[in-house]
Amino acid sequence: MDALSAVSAARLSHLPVTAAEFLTDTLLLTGAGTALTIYNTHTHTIQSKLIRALPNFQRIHGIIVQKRESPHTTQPTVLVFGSKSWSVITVGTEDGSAAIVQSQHTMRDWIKAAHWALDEASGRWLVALAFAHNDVVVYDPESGAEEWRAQCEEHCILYAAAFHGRTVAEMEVASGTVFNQVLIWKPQRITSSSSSSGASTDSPVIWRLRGHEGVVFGLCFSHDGRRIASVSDDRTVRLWDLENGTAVSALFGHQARIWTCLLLDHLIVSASEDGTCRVWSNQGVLVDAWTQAKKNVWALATNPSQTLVASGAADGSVRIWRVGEAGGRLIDADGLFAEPMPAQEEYLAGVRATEHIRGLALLGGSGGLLAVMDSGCVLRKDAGSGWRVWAHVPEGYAMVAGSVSGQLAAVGQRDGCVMLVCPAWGDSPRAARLHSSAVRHLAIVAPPANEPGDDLYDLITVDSDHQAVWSRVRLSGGQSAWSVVATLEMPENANFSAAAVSLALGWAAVGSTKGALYIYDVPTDLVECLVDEYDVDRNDVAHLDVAVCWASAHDKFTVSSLLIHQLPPSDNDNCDYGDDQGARKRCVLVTGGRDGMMQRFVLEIAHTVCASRDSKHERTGPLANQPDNDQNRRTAVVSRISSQRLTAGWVEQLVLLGANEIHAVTFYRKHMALIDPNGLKLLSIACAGGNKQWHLTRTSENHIRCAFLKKSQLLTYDLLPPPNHTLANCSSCYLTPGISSLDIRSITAMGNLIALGGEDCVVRVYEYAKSALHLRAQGRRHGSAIRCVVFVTPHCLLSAGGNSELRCWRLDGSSLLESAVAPTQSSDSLRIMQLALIPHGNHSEYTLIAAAYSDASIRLWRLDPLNGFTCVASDNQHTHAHCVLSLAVLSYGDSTVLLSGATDGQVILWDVSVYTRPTASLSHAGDLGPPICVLPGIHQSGVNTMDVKHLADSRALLASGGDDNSLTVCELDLSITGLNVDGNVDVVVRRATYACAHASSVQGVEFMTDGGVCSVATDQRVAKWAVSADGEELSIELEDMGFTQVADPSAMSVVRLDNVDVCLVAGIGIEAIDI
Amino acid sequence: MGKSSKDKRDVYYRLAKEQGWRARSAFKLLQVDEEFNIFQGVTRAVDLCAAPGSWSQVLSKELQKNNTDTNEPPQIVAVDLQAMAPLPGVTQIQGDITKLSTAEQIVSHFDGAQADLVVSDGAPDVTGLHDLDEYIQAQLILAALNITTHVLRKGGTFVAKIFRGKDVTLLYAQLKIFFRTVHVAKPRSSRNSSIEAFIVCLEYNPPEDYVPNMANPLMDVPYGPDQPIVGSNRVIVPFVACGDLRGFDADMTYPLEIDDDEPYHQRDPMQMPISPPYKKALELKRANFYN
Repeated sequence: MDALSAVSAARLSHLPVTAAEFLTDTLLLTGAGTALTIYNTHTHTIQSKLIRALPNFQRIHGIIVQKRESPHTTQPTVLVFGSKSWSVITVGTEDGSAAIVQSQHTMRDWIKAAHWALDEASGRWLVALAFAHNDVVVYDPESGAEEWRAQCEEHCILYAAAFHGRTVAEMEVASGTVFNQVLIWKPQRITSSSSSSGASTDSPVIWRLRGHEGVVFGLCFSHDGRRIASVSDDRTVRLWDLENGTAVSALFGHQARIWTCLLLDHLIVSASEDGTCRVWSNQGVLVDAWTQAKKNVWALATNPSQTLVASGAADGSVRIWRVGEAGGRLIDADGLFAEPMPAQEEYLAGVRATEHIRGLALLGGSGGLLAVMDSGCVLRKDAGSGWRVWAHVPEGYAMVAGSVSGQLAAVGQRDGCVMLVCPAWGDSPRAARLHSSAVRHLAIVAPPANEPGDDLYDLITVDSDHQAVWSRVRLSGGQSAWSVVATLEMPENANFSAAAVSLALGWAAVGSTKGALYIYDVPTDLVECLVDEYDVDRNDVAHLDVAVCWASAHDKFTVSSLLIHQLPPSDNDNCDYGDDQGARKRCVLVTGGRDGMMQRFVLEIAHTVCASRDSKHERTGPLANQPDNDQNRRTAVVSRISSQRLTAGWVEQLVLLGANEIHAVTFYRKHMALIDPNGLKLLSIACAGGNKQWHLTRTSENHIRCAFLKKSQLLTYDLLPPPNHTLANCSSCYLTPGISSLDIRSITAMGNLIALGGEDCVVRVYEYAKSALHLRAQGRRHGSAIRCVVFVTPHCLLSAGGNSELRCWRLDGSSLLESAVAPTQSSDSLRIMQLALIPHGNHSEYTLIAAAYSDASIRLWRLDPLNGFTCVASDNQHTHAHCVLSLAVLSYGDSTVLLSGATDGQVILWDVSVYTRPTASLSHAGDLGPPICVLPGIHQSGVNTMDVKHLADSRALLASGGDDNSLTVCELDLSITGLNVDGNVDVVVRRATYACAHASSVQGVEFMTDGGVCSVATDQRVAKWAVSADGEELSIELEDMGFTQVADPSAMSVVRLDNVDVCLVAGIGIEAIDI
Repeated sequence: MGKSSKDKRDVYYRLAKEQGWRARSAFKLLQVDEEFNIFQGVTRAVDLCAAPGSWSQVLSKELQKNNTDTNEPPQIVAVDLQAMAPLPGVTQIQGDITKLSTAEQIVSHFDGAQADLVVSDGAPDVTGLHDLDEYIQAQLILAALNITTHVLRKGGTFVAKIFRGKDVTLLYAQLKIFFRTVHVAKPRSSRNSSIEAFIVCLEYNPPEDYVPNMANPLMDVPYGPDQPIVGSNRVIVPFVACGDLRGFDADMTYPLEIDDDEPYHQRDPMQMPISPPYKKALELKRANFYN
């Protein structure tokens, strides 16, 4: 009977991380479900994994490392506890491999805290456990035998407890009660004489700490035991002085309940339901907020030297944070270098007003600077030398822009000239007249770092007449290496704010101060014109028109930065785009705006001319110079694939490093921050606002420089990480990425692709390999919980859920692009509960989908590439009269039957054969009904899940799982009805019900290849049932039952992974169990 | 989300406001009674964890109906840690159900007699750690059961909310020691997707040698040879769906006009939510403390 359970969790599991503890300064232990994982935080690798650290599938809630006097004499011993059990585990060697369970023990009550305490009399290390009923029991760790026990005088349930004291005699307990108090008490042994004397044997409370306004969820003693921190339902962290039992401070800042905390020597770290860890100084000042997950960071730990904090979250992620970086390398005025500027009279003859810096740029890798002054003097400073006057600009007017590489800066002048400054060119300025009026804006588009063609820079300049000129500079070339590529159309009223161009990818984009995006198609055959031969009045270069305009892409806020880069390689380029032109044209546009958002768009060319598909996430526009013949007309399509908020302030610059790594420079409250692709703050500098002059360069992988003006002072900052550290590994990172912090409601697989959807409204596609999931792509379009995801092909996926949203996605390399969306129903509270694909003979042309709705209706949708979703039939009579929960489809011969189950326990059969035939007219919505027949009372309440298996001829088996804990199998004979016969005929030939198949509602039922049925329920059991249809009676027999560690499982799918049948279970986390 | 959105999504929420119940859970008790007739012959009832008071409302209304033939009015005692708005015909005790004094107070209200029915709709604020939530809920039920053993007459009925999670069979096993018949009931007004259900324990019949003792709370039954964690010989109690199938469906999306006679209008809840523990944190947020 234990066969399933024996291998449970072995193949794949991703569960909330509920415990963490460091074994050494680099080895980290975490607990997720019943498994203990050992990480090396230096190499970011998993050293080993102990699948069953606790008995009875109990979840690990705490890990306690035995603090030994001499670290190398014995093996490290670890106590792991959770729910009602505990284990003693030795870790084989110091490198964290081969954890071995020494003993496992099951208790009668919930363990809230555990502790190693030295019994000085015997010299033995004992284990003390604090239980939920506010009692403490001391055990021998080897035998598990009880040594003695103590009961606190306050008899109540605890949500939290903590121990302090190295020896048994010194041992103190803190209890966090359901009545909002923290009790400090010393366990006093209950002896047989004291209990028989009749006097109270309870241990008295030393300090009763009152102040919390909600239950206490977590407690942490300071190292010396003189202070304690408590966290609560009331969203506060409170600090208490245990010398006199008084409250020191209450820290407000978390946006939801706080689960646990750490009291370091100089900092306090708390972890919350709001998905963040917050870092506080001992004075109670909020130093940093580390965002980890959408919801629930459960576990915290710090290493012995307190250099690292590890946190574990509900989404299964494990993250490490460098304590020294709390505040994100907060750099205040002390860390900044004020550049001494030359005295005015040193370079300027005559008396005039005090000079100010008009514009600045960093030059080269080490200390080069350029500053344009009021007087028109262009001051330059090179590495190792002082300031000198390098050039003059007329009337002291200058717009200055510098590249991220520091290799090129440009100065735009009032006369329409553009001057280039390049350390590689030595001292000679280069200037060319590109405009007939003053240059108002400059943008330098740098090539991605470490890519071929490093030295090619694109320069977009815009003048006061709204003329935009695109020129290219090749740094390594001679004088001739600067040419004009094209001019860009600037729509009226569009105030230029940012630009990105790529000749190689064939796209250009411009952003405006009103939040609009303008996209240009760049032809391959552009003829460049050398700047020296360029005549601003003749315009002898190509003029590019706007192909797509997207107004308010960043609301009404300035689009501050744009990047165009290649889509990562895709597996199926040839499937969707037959010709090279199409494939060449697909790329990603990343935008940053002063609304604090970073967005990603896919730019591509569609060959079909469809009616305008403009929607919330898509804009289209015709290409210029199209052939007249309709067949070959093409359309530019811009679709938004993601949108994320990076800051409460402004995103001012996006920096592309390598092919995909985007860093963002943000400004908020006069702090500039550099944010890495994982959302980690690499540094934060107190400076002036983002609208003041500033420039940031990254001249090598590790060297970041920035310069800005603050109160007329030129300040610079150099970030050079310590030797032998790259910027990446000296910052915080994920050891394991998360999946979803909220309930997963649907799981489906095709080949080695696994798709998930759930309460967090994100569709995620993973690739399964080597017992792990690797994120392939995700789509964020749903505004409400997703209840169902279904693969149509390995490249096409459907998702549906709340707000009656139904979407189709194209999996394209590492992008999930929405390819169609069904028109939603009027009621925003209408949910799609389930989807089913209806097989038919014309797959290449269209897909037929049945959808179950919460208003008791069923709709059939046709999906084709040209028209998207069309409703072809619906049950207008709402025959179910109850919320429809489940669907199944049966095909045999040329008949197709749709089965639907509802909350009242009824199953209804519908003939949908007509919709599958080639002749079917699927243009307008018909009536689905009347049904073939109604099967009442299949379950007492909701039919949560169904699967159907064709037997022979018109006979089939229907398996269903109900909210009534039961499993029902019915043998159906559809020949009895002759199909389409009006009136109710009972098609159920035989029926078997296993009433108490589970102890709780059955959430998933599926036929296995061997004819048996697999089921999963909220009692967290996975069961295999043998269905025998051979004898007189249909019978169901339990074959095997296992346990899943996925709490609240709400979806199940039987699939083949690694060539074996596995049951994928999804709920709070996911698991793959061999069946 | 509009103000009427919750009304559309949850028909029982709307009905509760229309019919004057303090919470939608009133329908759950009514539907349990439809199936099990738990109010039949009941003159003394106890509502544990009563706030905001919708079950006390149901008891007060239904027991009144029940006893029109006798002159004796029904006696209802509602116990909760929090104070709640007064209800006619219901005696309130603000107290802790784990305290013996509370049990004594209840019995004293019945003039020394014991109760015919004890109900409890209590549930903790869930944390999201399902094993912990289920444990705390089980402790709440065991505390309710413990006080029930002091106040319930032999043959009496006990109804309580449970979470049907991974260890629910252990709770069933514990309850079966004290009652002849134990059912798990799912009223139709409780959402299909919800983990909640109600344990209906009929015919109180404690073990012969059992002495009620508040000092020794009943501990859970652990998994062991008698209680295997998996397998068919786990203690299983029959499931009963309660409520009329023709009635409203808690999962269904209804149009706002469900009653042709009465046009829809938005109503305020009967009882505003009690002050949450994070009240201070909310006030600070509103005062822009965090920015």
